[in-house]
Amino acid sequence: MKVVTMSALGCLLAAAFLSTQINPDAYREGYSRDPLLRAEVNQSSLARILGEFRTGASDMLFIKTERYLHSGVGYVPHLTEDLLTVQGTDKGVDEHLAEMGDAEEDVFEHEEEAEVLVPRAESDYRGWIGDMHREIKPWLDPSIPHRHTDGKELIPWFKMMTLSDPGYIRGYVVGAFWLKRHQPEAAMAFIEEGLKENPEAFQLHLSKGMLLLSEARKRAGKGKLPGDTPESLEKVLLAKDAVQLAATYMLSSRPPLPEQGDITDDPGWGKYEESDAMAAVNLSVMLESDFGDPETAQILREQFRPLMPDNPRLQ
Amino acid sequence: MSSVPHQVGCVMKGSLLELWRRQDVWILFLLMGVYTMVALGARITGDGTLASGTFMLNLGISLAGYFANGFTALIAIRQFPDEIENRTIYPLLAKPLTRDSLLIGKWCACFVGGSLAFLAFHLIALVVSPASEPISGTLHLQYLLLQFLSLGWIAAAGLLLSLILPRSLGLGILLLMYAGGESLFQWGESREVALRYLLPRFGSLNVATRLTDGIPALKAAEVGSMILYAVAWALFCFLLARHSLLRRSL
Repeated sequence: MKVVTMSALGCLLAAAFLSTQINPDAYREGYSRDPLLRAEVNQSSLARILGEFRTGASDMLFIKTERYLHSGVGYVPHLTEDLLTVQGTDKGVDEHLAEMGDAEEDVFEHEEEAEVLVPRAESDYRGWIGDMHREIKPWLDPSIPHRHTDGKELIPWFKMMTLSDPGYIRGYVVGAFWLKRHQPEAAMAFIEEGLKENPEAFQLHLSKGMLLLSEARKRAGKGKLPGDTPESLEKVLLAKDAVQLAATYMLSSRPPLPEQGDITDDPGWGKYEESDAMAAVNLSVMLESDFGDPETAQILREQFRPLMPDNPRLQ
Repeated sequence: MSSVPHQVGCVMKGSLLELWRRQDVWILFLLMGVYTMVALGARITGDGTLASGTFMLNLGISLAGYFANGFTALIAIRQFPDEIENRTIYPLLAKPLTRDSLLIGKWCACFVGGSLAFLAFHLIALVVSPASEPISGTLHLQYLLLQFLSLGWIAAAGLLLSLILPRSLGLGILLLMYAGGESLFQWGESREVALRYLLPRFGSLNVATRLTDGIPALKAAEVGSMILYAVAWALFCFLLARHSLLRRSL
């Protein structure tokens, strides 16, 4: 009996040791992690039929954030190449909040006419069922400017999204930029959490650099440039390290330049990834040139030029 | 006294016959039928892109895995309680049949029953899914192997829990471990809890998303670790189940 107990204990210890070696989800690319392919899936009728029975919980949660942003009204998801970049995300959130006007208000009106998931009465073949649907669900006529919330309610969804899929880089990036507006320290902690899970994700290093630059701008104060004060300079130097790491990791994940055509023709490298790569390189060179060693900046320019021959900042 | 393999074979056949007579697997086939209708609808209408086809394939093979593991857990958890409640265990042991043969036979029946159901569900998912992005053939084979190991593990865990806990509590715990073990491990990892390595990570054997993400096959060392991990856990459960059955007064 003792032998059996000892063998069982041995098996448990062996399993515990082997558990340290197993991580089948440790990969970065993949069809389900490509935001454009996700958007394509979300717009297909299959996804609409299956509704929220989704294999990727993080994907479902991302859709949920759109609902929260629009006070519960379901609009057809809209994603552009520009909005998928780290800088585009930051800018998008900025523009979104800049239109708010009164800071006390938690919603503002957005003028753009968007396509709603539940159609208008005149184009809804369901008759009274459609009328009832529009009455019992949050719904706004698409001709009326739609309302955006200030994004506070979105934040827990980003956390849940990354809990369910720690490899979901975009969840960390978008979540951090929303958090930045409300709690900058928490935004940085969120990005650090993402980096712990995905240490080689260059978009996360780039996001960290941009958050640090934003903090540097804030510390410099009005009328001064980032780096003008010692507190601001400290953040700029940290940002420089972060974007240089971003550029280094970008080099290892970017496919080689094709002999013909554009690098974004590569199915594994979209336009938004190339935009992020360019942002990492440009920021890395610019910060090194302005706040580091100009000779190192020149070396960086020469290092990146063959990879991005058309980039004017590397000339 | 007949040989052990013969005894095991007899127990296994009897248990499989019992599984066949019950309705559980047909309910799961009906649920797979709902998936089949949606997938076939997409195929017939030609709707969707390769990306949505990949999503459907992922959904199909994930459902196949979940259903088969759930089914195996359900049949494993009631093997001994049913025999004890119906008092059919007494004539079995008086045949004479050793308790070891009974345990191995029951495990084999659960494993074979679960594996056949898994193969059928998986085949349905593969056949009816619309065209998808290319996937690695080797990883596909690795996925199948790991799922079979997962079924063997869940069968052993089910038998163990049925011997030490009331049936419904055991089933609840087993399904929670299956569905939440990996998430709990990830949670423990983010907080650096050392005990996380002792958690049963059924989810770590599920590489369905990796497969439909078009990622290349796992390296030999990686897949070897996963195989050994599943075998170690299955053996652990099996040995404890044996210990519990041998000590149990019937």
